[in-house]
Amino acid sequence: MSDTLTWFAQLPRSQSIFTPPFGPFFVLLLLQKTLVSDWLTGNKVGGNNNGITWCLCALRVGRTPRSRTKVTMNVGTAHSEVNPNTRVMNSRGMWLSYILGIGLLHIILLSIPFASVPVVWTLTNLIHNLCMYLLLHMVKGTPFETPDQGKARLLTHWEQMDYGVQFTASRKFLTITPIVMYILTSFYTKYDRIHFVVNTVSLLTVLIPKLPQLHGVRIFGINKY
Amino acid sequence: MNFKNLREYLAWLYYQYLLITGIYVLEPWEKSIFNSILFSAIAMVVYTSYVFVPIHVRLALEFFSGIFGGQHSTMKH
Repeated sequence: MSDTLTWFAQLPRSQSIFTPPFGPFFVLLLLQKTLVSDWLTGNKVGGNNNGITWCLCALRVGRTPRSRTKVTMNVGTAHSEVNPNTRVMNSRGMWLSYILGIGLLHIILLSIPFASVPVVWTLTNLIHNLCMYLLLHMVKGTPFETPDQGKARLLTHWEQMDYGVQFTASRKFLTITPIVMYILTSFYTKYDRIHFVVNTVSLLTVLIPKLPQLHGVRIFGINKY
Repeated sequence: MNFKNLREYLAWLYYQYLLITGIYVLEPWEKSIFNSILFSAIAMVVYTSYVFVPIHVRLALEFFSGIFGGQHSTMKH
């Protein structure tokens, strides 16, 4: 079974909307992970990896013979990455899933009956920036053991990204999305004064920690250990 | 996989849902809370789409037909 898989995965792939930077839609991933993976592997119990590899190959998201910086599907296999956190934001489908996640949040907030459109946009902006701050600039270390003797234990995820190299593609992308969100929110709130103050403060909390000058900086020792 | 009937298939789908969302590991009452919140959110989204999507689609079509018809379309959002 695995020989067929490697043979199939090595077939040359043409470009399609499923190759980076768009990546596969994670809904599609979810579907095939549940329904199709078991059907393909013939298992009675909940599925394993092989179905995923099959389906993603079938959807033409296998490795493409390109020479520029590749994003490989190294899922569930051995790798030599010292700290996988550094590469997680460059993974295939991550940017698209992020945008779709924001869209999903926005749609759910829009469905609240008593919320007006400006309030919904401000809420989307606030919740997005809050989650971004908590996940990227507050939580430190890794959920797994790393062979780097604890270098990453005191670093937030933003500081761990790409081993501290500044202005990489993912860093730029994650800096620009809050700004675009802010611009959209300002428009849809009709530049109301209170919404402006709230959204600007929220944007600052998410932009300032991303500055290179604040790499590894802990103001007043907050969040140092 | 051999599913004897629809009930078995739906039970398997629910099992997959529990696994993927991770609530498989939670207590039954925690599962209920999560399911209630998720179900309410989905119900709200479906209801809102049902009410508003036709209106928005009609407005969009009117707006774009204005370009081809050459008339001014007065839009009030």
